Amino acid sequence: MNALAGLSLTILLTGVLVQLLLSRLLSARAKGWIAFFFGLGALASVLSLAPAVQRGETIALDLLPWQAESAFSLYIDGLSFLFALIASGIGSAILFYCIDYMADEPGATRFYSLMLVFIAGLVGLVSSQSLLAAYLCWEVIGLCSYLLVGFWYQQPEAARGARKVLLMTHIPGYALLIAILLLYHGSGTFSWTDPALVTQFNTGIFLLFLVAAMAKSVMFPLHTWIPEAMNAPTPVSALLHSACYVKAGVYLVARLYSITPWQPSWNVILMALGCVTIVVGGLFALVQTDLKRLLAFSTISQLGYILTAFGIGTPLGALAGTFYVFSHGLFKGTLFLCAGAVQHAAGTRDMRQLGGLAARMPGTARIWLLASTAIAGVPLTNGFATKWLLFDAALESGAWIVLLIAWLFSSFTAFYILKATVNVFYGKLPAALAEKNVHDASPRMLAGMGVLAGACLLFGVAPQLLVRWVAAPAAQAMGFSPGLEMTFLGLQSGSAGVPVTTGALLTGAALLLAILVYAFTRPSNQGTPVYTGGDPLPEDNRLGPEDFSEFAGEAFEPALRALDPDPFYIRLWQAMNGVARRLGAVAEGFEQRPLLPVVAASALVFLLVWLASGG
Amino acid sequence: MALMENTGLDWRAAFTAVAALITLGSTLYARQISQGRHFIWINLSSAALIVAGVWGPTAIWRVVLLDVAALLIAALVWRQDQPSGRLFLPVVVGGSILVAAGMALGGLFSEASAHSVAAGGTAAVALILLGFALKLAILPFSFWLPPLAGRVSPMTAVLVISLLDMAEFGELALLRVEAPWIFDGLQGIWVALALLCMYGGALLALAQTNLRRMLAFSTIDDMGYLLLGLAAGTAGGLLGALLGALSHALCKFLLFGAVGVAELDLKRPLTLDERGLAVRRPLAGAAFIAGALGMIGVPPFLGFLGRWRLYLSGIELGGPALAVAMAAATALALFYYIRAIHRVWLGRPAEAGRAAAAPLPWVRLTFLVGIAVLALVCFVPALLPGFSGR
Repeated sequence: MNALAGLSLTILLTGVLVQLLLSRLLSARAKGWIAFFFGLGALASVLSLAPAVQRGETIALDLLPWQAESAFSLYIDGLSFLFALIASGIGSAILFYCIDYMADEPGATRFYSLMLVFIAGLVGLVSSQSLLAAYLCWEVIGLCSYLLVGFWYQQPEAARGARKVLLMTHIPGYALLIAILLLYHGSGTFSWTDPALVTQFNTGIFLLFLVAAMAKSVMFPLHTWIPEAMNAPTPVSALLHSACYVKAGVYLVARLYSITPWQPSWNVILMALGCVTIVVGGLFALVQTDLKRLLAFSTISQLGYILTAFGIGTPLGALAGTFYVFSHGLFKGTLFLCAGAVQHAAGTRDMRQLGGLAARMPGTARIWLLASTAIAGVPLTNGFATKWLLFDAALESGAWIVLLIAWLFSSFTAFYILKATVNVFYGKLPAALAEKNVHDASPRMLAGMGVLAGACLLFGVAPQLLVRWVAAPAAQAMGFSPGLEMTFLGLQSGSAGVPVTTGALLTGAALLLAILVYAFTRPSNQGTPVYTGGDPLPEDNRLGPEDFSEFAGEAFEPALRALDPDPFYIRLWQAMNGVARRLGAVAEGFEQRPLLPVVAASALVFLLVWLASGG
Repeated sequence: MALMENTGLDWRAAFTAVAALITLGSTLYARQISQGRHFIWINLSSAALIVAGVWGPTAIWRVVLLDVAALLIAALVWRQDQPSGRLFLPVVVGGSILVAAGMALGGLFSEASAHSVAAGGTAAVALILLGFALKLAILPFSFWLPPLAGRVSPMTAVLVISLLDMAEFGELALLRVEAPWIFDGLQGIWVALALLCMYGGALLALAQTNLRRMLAFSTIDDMGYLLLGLAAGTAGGLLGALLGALSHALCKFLLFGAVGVAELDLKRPLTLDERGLAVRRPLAGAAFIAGALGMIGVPPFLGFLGRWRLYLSGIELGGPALAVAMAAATALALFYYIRAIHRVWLGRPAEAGRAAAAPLPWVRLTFLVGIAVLALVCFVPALLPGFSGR
């Protein structure tokens, strides 16, 4: 069993090698198939660990047994399994989608090699026993995302997005490196399973870990890189948002529970940051008119939910967090792939120029609907089960503010995703699109999206499968034993879930009542003629995305201005440049007449050495 | 041998391998992109002298051989650009005299007294410090490097920075082990110089619009990290500094090489006003990106192996505060490198419809090999424990 621990990494890296070796021989489509099969192989090897993980076992493997202290030791437990499954499972679906999506793209070898390294990077991160090796993987996925976001580097927008990704995630990454080195300095080990490491943990080190995680997991105020990364190929966005990038920070936070007991203040900090992130992501998503940017801000908000769940710090909170991580990967991956299909077919992702696509792209529309209901938390989908778990955890721990914010912004989620759904798929097809040959995604692309959307439904109807096989072992690896009994549709029979189950039944009853009232009091289709003060409004007049965006923009304008940290970053950059320019002018003067400064500096050095040597 | 015993890294072998790679690469490069008259034979002979100097059995041999190589390179610089030569030659001569005088005063040319402070200890330390400050372009003694890097041919700049400077740095590292009194008790001065180089170099690099001058200031910036490793004096610090020096040598080869290719096409110095050059020369763009990221120690590039040890040295020397200061300086370096990458190499070309780029197969090959080495060597210590130390 232990030998299997390294198999997924080996398969993925072999895939990279094959891509590079066969670069000149294969078509882009063939490279896509190869990448997919290697992804699938990695998924199979991860799945083969499931029985052991379910039994609560850990799997360790030293990749370099001949070294006394190898930096490449793997250690797989429930938490590693969860994230490795997300990376390889969702990654494989995305690679399948890529076969057609990237079929006509030059640079396929670069693309698929980076995608495989990207997935391998996350698998390596979550499997590393050594924190230094984990940091290496952390930065490797950072580098992959930089190169993939800038895949179309000839386009200034793509290049700008890549630059922001690198700057905003690499710099906070030094906090992680410093934290790891401080731990090593105190304990003499990089192994996070070594008890000596635990004794070195303190709030300062926790905060350093958190800063790094915040940047990767788009937490306020380090979140502004992700909307700018939207000019990447859509499969990259999907992988970035659902599986391999933003989840790295979540893993780091979750793993801290395995390493050290948490102080209550750490929970408060994480919950506060999570809640602010929920609000910021939700508010900014409301005002977007670009479909992918809307989804990007939605990711920020959803990551806020996930980290808030982990911040609660109870067994139920840990379970909610692990369940949410997987569920978010599924529905966000699906939504991005659908957005990619829309852009592929319509040539734009500007919602002001879209509409009525359900008629031309019925398959994509159905899949989108399923995933959008999941993100909105509609029953029968995994989104419902996961939000339910989160609310339950907040209720149980008495975190009323968390509950209030999570509940309120769930309605914001429903609102912005509904806005996107209506404006992209319903209404009248714009004239510009009516003239174009807009058609549905190819069967392979639909299959890639469909598998993920199907999983949203499966784990909504039978969430106990996900809880038992994935989420609960992950929570156990974090040091929690969630005694939760969940059955179909997320109904809970354990003591913790009884009030929530009752609440849900009441909500269901209220919904049913509302539907009945609506059915009996439905207004006539004819409507009532209303004098509008002039000519009648055109028949197809409807609220467009710009109307919603303008309304939300005006309503929340002060909040949006206050919560945007980019102006602060820009001022910082300008100040730094100003100092640099002034210093540059001085240095140029020195270059023209170097003698005097050199003599003066030499005299100073002599003096300092003389003083330091005791005169 | 002293460095090997202390760090586990065979510096002489590792430097020789890197120097051979760079010399071969720069010679192939010069065959396709002219680096000026006499470049090839001066490149080969000075590289041979430098490597011989690194392997020199005694301090006096090492100093003499490295100084002869430096004089030969100064002659090349003089031929290519007299104003640069007028700055570089006094530095070579002055630096050599100061170092030699300091070593003689400190008794370093006689094995017996190397480990204890000689009678003229203070003067010896000051002379050695000043001599190396001049040779290694440590701020504020760095006045000669930016004009030189901006005016001589790219591979001449590589010869100066990647081979001569890094060999001199290896000599200073050897002195750290053989004559620790040069550093002991003066750590404050060395750390101050290191921080001055890190921040001064980074800010001055940020102020540049000419890419070659920016690269020169980035060498000064990086020297700060390397000095910090020596100041710490621990095995990790020394190893980090030596690995950092090897990485620096390779990265600068790629960076200057890429700039040279761009200048060949543009027929003018490369500045931040250019746009989208990678569209025309994708491999040169890749070489620049790899070199830039390698310089700041982004994993998995070779620089990372040195950089994390240097950060650890920073923690050992000055606690978390010094490590945070180092990280902030690295962030500055990231800013100027990323600005260069994104303004000059990526994006849409400013001049559409230029003639097709001349094929440069040997240059492409050297870039490919350089990038591969930089990216893959990071995994070597795990596979070959004896090679790159602990």
